[in-house]
Amino acid sequence: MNHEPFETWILSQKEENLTPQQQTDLQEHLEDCPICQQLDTSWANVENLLICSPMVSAPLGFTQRAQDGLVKRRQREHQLQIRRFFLFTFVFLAVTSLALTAGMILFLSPLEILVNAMHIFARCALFLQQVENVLRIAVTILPPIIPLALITAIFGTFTILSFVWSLAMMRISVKGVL
Amino acid sequence: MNVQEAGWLQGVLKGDEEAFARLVEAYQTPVYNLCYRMLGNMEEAEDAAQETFWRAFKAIRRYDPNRSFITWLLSIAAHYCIDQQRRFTPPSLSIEWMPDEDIPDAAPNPEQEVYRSEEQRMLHNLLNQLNPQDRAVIILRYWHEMSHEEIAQTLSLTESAVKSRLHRARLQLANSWPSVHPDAHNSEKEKYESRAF
Repeated sequence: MNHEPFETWILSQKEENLTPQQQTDLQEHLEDCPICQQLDTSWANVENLLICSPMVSAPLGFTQRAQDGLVKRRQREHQLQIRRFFLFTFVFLAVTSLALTAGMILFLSPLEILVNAMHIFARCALFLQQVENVLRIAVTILPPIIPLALITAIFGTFTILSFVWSLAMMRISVKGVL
Repeated sequence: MNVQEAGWLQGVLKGDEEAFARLVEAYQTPVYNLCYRMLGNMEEAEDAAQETFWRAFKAIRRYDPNRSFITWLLSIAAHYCIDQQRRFTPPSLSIEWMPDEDIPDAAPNPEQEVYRSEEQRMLHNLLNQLNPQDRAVIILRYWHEMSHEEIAQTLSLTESAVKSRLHRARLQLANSWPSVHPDAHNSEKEKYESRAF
């Protein structure tokens, strides 16, 4: 026996709003079809159970646990962010250093690397010596107040930069990177 | 969403934990109910509901204010529960696990309690027969009284898919009824009259 559209009508009577003709057809079909009769009875029971079952409330203290959980999860998230940030920085520096080293080894011989390193070292030493000479001359030529102002400016800049760096590190460790 | 709730939402957007607590308080019942009906276990339902609120907190910037907030929240909960159900086999249920429900009767007598527990056991057994997505469709339709369109939005389905899932789930529930209800075969016909007659 064909159970369509009766099966659909039985299962969605409350939503479909059957016409009087459809209701009569369904009734006639149900009188002759034990399978649809069984379906109709079973669905009536199930639907009744679904409609009568109330919402289940959350257990007592749910909101407090959610709030506590939020604090813990945010802390954990920040720690993870910090770890990721430092790990990324370390990996970036390591990879860059490795790439530079590999590049040097590929394109230069060990002797050339040594010579270049010594050359750079010598140039740095020379530069520092030149700076020292310039400063000595400046001290003798310029009025005594100017070298003092220069030293104060250099130290001041370093202090401000250190302070900004400390603040950034503190912010990262407390609030995370973003 | 009313003005007060919109204010809480603004607070949550700024990371205000107090505003988050107010939102949790306002929406904990529908979210917990969905999780409980989906997972059938109080502890798992609590974990899932907590996870839902945490995910909502993290993703609050992606929330579209033109959309219903509760639909968005239930969408997160439903997807999480469906994933959980797919990952793990559902645990067997016992009557002792049944939580308190929002029933107006303050002091039900023991007979009523037993009857209610029995009803809930049957309901959980029935819902357990369905696959997670069909179960979510039934829960959203009957407990949250959502329209087909809202269910489609919540579960990221088309409306026709919702209708077809709803039909399939109803048929499966009706067919499972005799195996779940102990006296279904004997007393069903005497106890309940067909609505069509």
